Amino acid sequence: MFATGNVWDYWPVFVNGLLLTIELSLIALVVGFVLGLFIGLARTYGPRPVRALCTAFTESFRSIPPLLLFFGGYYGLSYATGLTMSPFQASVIAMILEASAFMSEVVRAAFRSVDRGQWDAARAVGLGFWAALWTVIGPQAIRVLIPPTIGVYVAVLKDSSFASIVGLVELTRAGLLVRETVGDSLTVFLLLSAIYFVINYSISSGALALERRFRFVH
Amino acid sequence: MYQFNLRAILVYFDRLPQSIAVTLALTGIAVVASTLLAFPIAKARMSGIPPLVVLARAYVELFRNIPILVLLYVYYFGLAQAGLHLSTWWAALLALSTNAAAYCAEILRAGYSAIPSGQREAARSLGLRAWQIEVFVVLPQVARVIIPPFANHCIGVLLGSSIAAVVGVADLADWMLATGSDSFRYMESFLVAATIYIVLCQGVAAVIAAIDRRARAGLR
Repeated sequence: MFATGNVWDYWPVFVNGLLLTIELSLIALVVGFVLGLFIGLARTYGPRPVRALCTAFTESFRSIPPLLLFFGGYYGLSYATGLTMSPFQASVIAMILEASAFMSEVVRAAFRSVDRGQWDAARAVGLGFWAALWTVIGPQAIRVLIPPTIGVYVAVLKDSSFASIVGLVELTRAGLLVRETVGDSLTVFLLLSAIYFVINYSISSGALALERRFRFVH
Repeated sequence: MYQFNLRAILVYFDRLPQSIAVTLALTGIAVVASTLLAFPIAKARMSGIPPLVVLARAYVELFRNIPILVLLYVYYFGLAQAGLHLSTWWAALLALSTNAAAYCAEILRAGYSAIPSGQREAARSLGLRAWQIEVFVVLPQVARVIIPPFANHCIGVLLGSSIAAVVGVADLADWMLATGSDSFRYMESFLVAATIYIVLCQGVAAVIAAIDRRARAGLR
């Protein structure tokens, strides 16, 4: 094998890849959170046709493997619309679709977990639907919402590795590139595993701590 | 100007049943293998013996937090460098199974902890041996409890199985990649493959929901 140099010499490639991975998954989470909030609320409180539409969206994008979403977002959209998608744009679209489907499930579960009596009480004191949602139900739901949202972030961050398929040089693709240059597959991929593990594990441990912090005491 | 044309990829449809079969086979074998692997992990986690607990926890946390694609690269490229050459099929199966076992171990653990200790005590007081308690008293109840999360687990494995296409196993995702690059009908092949994945997921969910209903009916 034509090994040129050491895996560790290429640390800036890994750092740049990691930054892109984090950037990508953060964008997906933030936009996915907002979209998921609307879709989840529409699924819970909307009129019947809207509800059906939102359910179809969530069920579809939860059931399509991420590999397909990136492929469809990059090649599919580029060919279908005639626009030249950059790998980054395509990846962002794919990940937003996935994240908003995940988030809408989380949102729906959170709002459903609020006791029905809370609605009755809010309406009884004369609050309208939106006022009740904003001042009574929402604040209670948000506590339930936070831990699984972080779970979604970890899932999205892991799935961002599929962006390597469409040529975006995020962490996984960075590893593949270094592997091509150095040839030391084992070190490269064990290093990738270690980086992903450290990041995801710290995020999910943080989530656990948050969950304890936000636990309801009745 | 682009025109949506499903007919353009109609000639590739004859390869579809085969690729769906590969996806389902990969999923089925990985679900069984991961469940078998998850049992000792869940048992170790619940054993109360510190080194075993730590090992089991380490396994679960490690394999839950590493992207399955990276895991596949470790097995396919990494192990090959270390002298162990896995075929694409075995590398994909290994990645899927070791990843799924981590999730499955957590499901099993939750299932076991849902069984009241009175069940074991009652069985012991009837004079059942340890293995009899396990097989005839505890396991059937655990199986019943874990059906709903197990459905999500199976769907997760089904979706994850698409990684096999990355190294070239001829599964459903690979059909899409091949059809797309052969005909340049990327959108069409994406939509066809995506629809089939959605249908497969709904199918798996429906089958397991039916099993769940039967298991619940047995309770009454």
